[in-house]
Amino acid sequence: MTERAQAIRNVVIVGGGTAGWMTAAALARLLGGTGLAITLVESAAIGTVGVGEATLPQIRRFNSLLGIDEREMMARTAATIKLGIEFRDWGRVGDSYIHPFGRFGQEIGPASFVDYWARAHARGMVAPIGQYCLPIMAAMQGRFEPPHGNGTRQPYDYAFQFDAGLYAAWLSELAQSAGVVRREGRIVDVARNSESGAISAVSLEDGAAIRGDLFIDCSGFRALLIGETLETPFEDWSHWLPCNRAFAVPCANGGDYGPYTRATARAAGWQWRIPLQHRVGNGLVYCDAFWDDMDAAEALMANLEGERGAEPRQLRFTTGRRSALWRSNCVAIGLAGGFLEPLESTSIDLIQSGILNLVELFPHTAIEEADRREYNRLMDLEFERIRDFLVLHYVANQREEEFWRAMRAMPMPDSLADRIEDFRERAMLPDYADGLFQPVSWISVFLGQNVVPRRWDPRADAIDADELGKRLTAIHGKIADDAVAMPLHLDFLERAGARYVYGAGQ
Amino acid sequence: MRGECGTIVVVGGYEDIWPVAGLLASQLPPHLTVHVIEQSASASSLALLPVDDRYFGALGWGVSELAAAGARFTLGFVLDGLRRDGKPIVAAPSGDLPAIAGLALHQILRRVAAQAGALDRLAELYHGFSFCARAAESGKMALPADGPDTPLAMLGPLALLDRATLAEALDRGCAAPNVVRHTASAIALERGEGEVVGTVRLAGGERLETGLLVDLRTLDPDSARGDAIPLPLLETAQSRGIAFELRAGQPLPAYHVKPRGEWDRSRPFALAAPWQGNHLRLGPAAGQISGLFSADSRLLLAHALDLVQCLPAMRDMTVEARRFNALHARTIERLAELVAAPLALNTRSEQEWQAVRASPVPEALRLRIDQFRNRGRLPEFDGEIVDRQFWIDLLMASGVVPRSHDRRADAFDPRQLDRALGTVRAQLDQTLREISSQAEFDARIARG
Repeated sequence: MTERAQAIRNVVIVGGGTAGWMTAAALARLLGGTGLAITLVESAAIGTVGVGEATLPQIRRFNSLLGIDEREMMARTAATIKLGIEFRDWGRVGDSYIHPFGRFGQEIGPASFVDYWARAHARGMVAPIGQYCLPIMAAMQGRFEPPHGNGTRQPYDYAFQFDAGLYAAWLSELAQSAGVVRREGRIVDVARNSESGAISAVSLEDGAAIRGDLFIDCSGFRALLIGETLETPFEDWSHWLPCNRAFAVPCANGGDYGPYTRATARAAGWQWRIPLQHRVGNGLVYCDAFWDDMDAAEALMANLEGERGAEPRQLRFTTGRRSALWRSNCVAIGLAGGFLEPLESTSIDLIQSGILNLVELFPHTAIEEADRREYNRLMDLEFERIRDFLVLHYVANQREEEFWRAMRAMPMPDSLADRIEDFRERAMLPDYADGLFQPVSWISVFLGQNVVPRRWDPRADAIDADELGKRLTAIHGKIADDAVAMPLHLDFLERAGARYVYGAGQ
Repeated sequence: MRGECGTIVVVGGYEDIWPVAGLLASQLPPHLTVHVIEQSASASSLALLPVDDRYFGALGWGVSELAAAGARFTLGFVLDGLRRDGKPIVAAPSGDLPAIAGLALHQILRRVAAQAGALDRLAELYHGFSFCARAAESGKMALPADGPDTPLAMLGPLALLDRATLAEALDRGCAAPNVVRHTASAIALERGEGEVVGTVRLAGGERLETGLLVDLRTLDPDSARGDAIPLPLLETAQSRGIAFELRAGQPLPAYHVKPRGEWDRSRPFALAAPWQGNHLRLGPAAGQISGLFSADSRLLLAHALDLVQCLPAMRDMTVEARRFNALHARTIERLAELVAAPLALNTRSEQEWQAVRASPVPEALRLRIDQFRNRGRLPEFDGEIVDRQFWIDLLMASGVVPRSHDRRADAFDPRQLDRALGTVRAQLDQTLREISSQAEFDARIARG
């Protein structure tokens, strides 16, 4: 038995930017040796959104697959370290919590740590949950060092805050050196096979036709192939996530390089702050039904910590996703496939998932319907689980403004309503293996936004109250000691070759 | 309904109640009391369960505790009667085989076989690397802890247990002061407002107030028709007289197709929501899947674990019931597809076996088979009960040979691949030669 059919050979990526170049670099690295010819078409005349300056720890796996050295990446992209996301004013004005890349506490008995914490909390005998988490304690003190495996410290992970434009540019270099062909030009036509409806080529303004066997749509919100050409319906989720506009603007760093991203709730939306080595990325996400553009822009500008680096740029979007991200011979990756607001830094992660799922299901000789179905199943699951987690931030609020009252009153997915009740009534957490946000994430947001369990796993009652108090105190003390022993984040950046911190390169 | 749950009543056959009561007793808070009502024992039966099953982990049991409960240890088992040629399938739970540059070994082997024009020999080539199955076939026995940095770490030892002996060990080991034993051939349930079970009345007249009733009394499947998860393929098998039994066997335990006329006539079933109000049906009261893969015993142990995880905090146990029912549905889905796999992939020619092949396959299993057949990929789902490598072994042994492989495998230099595969195979063979025999292992366990 031998395999004679023609392999899928020509891959055309439509659109540069973060999604396009991440896809190109990954395909070139992981599948380049199999005879793939990869062409990326982009136009300098079309701007990129430059999504996702803040990432999740999964980016480290992606970089590792691409053979990227973290130290070099940090220098090339003006990156800082990220140990989590601080949420300010989300429950009530004045509240603050960090969603960490780590865990809470340690094993005390058969119940989970949060059950023991909830029991002690009900008796007023416990510190805030964040004080049982090493990356939170380190982040609050501006400290960081890479996790090391001596087994005595609470495990944690980290991600990066980087300049997405620089990251894309660097991946562009890597991809092109691995054989990816970059074609400059605006696409003016898309040709389809008259029988199958599959895309056969894209044509540029100069008349050149670029033919392909598989097309990857990284054209951003325009969704040139998956949307405009293949007319794949868009599932609108704005009834759950109604924010639909944003302003973005960089500014000078006011001196706080804290190893975390910040999301501060505002009157009808929220503001992000992402400290990089050379600037701070800022943005305000809002809902136009509650805040007009001018007021939103003013609110953003009034809350910058340093001199602005550019004029504010407005983005308009609808949250949701395509009903199928792989249709015919076209796979949509990045904003072309869907958009979930950047509240939990999921944009780059969704790009990464799209790429890695595609690599795993990459066709040999023909695109099988079973593979398309599986790709769409995996991506649907990811989008939906992220969606529920994002909605939680909005519905679990106690603020008084009209927008926030409306958020509390809006219908939510049944799956989320059950999760909130499970936690409030019995400290139960979602139980699934596949999904970006695992129990630690849910605990962070629930407790951070004042959804406190009324009861807990009765097994947590098996330990004597005094003994429980001693155990919690010991855990708290060890974490505090470990956090203080870490070097400063800025020192780490300097040792990692940062060009801008401590005044270098300014 | 306010107030704490207070009292839990567990009722059922001896072999069924003690795996539940034993685990409850080991984790019980002092304010909860458990009344255990033993009814008559059912016929003794065997179960073949992973030594590292989460249930045993929750009990704090390892090999020595299982040995004290009468376990015999093995590395694999035989599946008999599923193939047209009559050859048995040897299956062995296993951790992942060594990956090469992150790619699963079977993907690499498929690429090598394709390049050599020998795809018809892929199963044979793969078998050479099936370390755990080969160890089982050759009568060897060891534990992963015997060589954590060697291929022994892949071994997935199993414990062959007599369920009555296991129950006795759990009964003996239960010294919790808040566990109270009762014996009653029959009970009556007295329900209060909202169909809540308020009191359990024993045949002797004693009355036990209950916050939660854990009911393990075997349920007549016909009474569950209105509230059942469909199991069409398993029902077809049962209606065509196909059922399995586990025999101790030598050198390996074996699942055999029961001779015609001896099969269990009770229909497979699974309740959709076994926890209603304060009445929780567990094990044989909530579902009966199959004797194959000790599915019914696995269901009971999974239920015991899910119960302790969902112990009610208060008399209003809505959220606990919802979570338990969701976990139950997931366990049934995973168990049903596991049992359905060898049935759906049987190659026998008789009419009844053809009818089983023609039955609708559970959705997750269909996806696994399609993906594995298309490209050697194995999708994973929440609540997996066997690991990835076991699925790969089972599908390969059942004749599902990938038509294609992960395209990344084509990127390797064939000479480097030959060298890497040769090294892996040599390591596996060397370790295989060094593993102790079953008799030597048994003697070691006996010495303690």
